[in-house]
Amino acid sequence: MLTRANAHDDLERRTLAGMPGDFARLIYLASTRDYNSGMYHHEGLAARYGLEPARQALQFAHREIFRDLVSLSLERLVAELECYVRNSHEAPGGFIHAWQELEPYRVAVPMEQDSSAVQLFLSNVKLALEILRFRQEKSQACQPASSLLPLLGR
Amino acid sequence: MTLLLLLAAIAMFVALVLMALSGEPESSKTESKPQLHRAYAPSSDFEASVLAARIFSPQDHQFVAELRDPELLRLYRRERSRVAIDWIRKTSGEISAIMQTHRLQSRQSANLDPAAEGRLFFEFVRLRVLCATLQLTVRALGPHTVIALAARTGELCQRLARSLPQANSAGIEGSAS
Repeated sequence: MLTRANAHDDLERRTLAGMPGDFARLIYLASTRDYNSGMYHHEGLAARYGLEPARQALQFAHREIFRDLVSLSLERLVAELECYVRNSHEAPGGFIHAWQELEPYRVAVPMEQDSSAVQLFLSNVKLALEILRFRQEKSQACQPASSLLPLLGR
Repeated sequence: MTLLLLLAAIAMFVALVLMALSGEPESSKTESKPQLHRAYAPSSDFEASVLAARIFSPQDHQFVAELRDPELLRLYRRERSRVAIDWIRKTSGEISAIMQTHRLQSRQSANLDPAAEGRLFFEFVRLRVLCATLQLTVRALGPHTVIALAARTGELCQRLARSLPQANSAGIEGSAS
């Protein structure tokens, strides 16, 4: 148990703390999970703390970040997503379009979650993307020549 | 004539309540990719009142309304009502599951307390009526209008689960969130 706590602490300090926002953390943690088995894996953590403690630490952190994001108001979730878009270094228009089409956030949900919380999260991300698109279009209509990236933040 | 109208109104209300109480959760029939989440086991990560406060949040409604875009507001209302109705149906289903578990256990019990059973039944009916009222109000006025009632329903449902040890051992308590 202590090893798992140490692994979690290490994960938080060394990896998650350096990420820009909870959305980045959620996507990162979901990417450490195997699609076929649902098991988490992190080479560095496993080498230091063992396979199982590392897996548990990743799973725990994933659930925690997801719970934090579900607990956010829609306004703050939009701000979180906006931060993630800005730090992705992709063109915001293309990013939003891709996320609306592919809905990659669906696979970022941890397993064994309350179905209502999952529904709320997916619905909120869908709304947040639509709000970002609306803001972007509005900004473009006002200042068509300016860059999209800084406009997203306004 | 007035009496007839009154009877018709009562009949309509009862029909609406029955309609609201029946049926599968929205998520099990309308979502395009629901299989991913339907198998998820309930978890106790979320407190009932916290989740209800988020789903029925008037602040979220206010935030979208302030953007002054009718399309966005329509999308928000549609999305949030769907999530809210799903939550209500799930909660209602869990109340029934708790009572069913209790009924099965009670059949084998030698020393039933009729007064306690009566109180329990009253609580069950009260919760089901609350769920039906919530569902009707959400459909008519939107989820943001019933936050207090929703939070109360979630709390009562959890309290009912806690008051019945056999429901807890069946793993129902956490799913009331």
